[in-house]
Amino acid sequence: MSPPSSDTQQRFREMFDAHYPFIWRQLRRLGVPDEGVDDAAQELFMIAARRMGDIRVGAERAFLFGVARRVAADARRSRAVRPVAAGGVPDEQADAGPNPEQALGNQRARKILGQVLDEMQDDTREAFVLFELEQLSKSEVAAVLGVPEGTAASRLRRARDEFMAIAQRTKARLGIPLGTAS
Amino acid sequence: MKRLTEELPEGFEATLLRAGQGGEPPPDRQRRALEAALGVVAASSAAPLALKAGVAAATKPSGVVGAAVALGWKAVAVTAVAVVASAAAATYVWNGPSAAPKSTVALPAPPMSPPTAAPARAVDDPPHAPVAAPRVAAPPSAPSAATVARAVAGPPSDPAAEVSAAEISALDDARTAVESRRPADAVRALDAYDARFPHGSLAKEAALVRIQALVDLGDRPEALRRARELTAAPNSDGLYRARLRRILGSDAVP
Repeated sequence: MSPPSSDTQQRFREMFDAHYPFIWRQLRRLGVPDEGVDDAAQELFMIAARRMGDIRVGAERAFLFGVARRVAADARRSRAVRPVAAGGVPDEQADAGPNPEQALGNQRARKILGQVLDEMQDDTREAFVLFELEQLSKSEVAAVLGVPEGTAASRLRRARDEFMAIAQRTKARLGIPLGTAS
Repeated sequence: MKRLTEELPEGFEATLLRAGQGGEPPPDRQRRALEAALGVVAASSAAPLALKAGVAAATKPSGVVGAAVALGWKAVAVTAVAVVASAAAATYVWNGPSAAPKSTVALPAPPMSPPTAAPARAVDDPPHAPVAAPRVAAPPSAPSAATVARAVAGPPSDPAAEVSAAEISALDDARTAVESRRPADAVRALDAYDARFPHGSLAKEAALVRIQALVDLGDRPEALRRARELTAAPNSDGLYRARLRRILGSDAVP
């Protein structure tokens, strides 16, 4: 690796400014616990700083996301070995009420969303998060994932079906009346 | 293709999705991350010199992470890198995974280039406008940060990495003492560091930690003297000066 030049530092700075919030959000959405997201993002960019020579111009976001998805996968595996009470969401019983917006505070909703995402397949989860939560375009999702656009579209369709099915199960488990929240 | 929140604007699913949209990192943590990463860039430029002198290349994150492995995964892996790079005041302790099999320590190469005709827009702004409101930083414990280290770590077979681990650990003792507001302990730890690693590859970082400890002890004259030494040293780059200014004030550092 050649010594970094001021150009490299400038390029890193631009990459950091452009993508740090994006990567921070993806780490949180893909399974890194909230209390560890800041540190994981910091470490991820330190790795990127060292590997600037390996990152092709124009592919920075794909590179960073590639690292982030593996970090998140490790985090999910780590959590998976912990004992979980039956039902998976023991502290998330929603208040009875006709309106799910009222029944679920934003914080609780985000936690439940994390549990729903946890149950999804890796490839569909990533596509879903980028499209539905980060609101990238389909072509942007394809670029970040490094797959053809048709593959991204296929994953997004599967992801949507998967998400809806898991969300319905979760809703029933939480005791929210199905008729009022769908 | 429409988004789900457009097709289902209300209901349980929409509530979940809206809760997951947006979000901005705490500005202070983002700034610290930038400082730390820029420190890695700067340290990387000094690494070849250290290697030439026969010093363990502890400034190389791979060596540092390898060192964390050598320490039985109880090392403070992220701090190990941060020690090289920044004044970020955080200590990350990982309690260790159930195992560190070889398959989990190799980092599969992430895509280096978009394989399709639709390249990633490298400098795209995230679609959500930044929120200026300050947020409270997360506590420093971060199992996931060590997970990052694990994701890029190699097997603990590099002797140089073990040397690096010892140096990192020694300096981390000092940093932890500073962060815990025990500057006298920090100075003692730094004395031990200097004795053990008289030509340490983290010497500049150690000098910065010592300057902070001296300021905390109220010995500003000595802190200023050491700051002058540090800024006069070869390869003293702007990053160190910026950090010194934060410790000593902008007037004290040219």
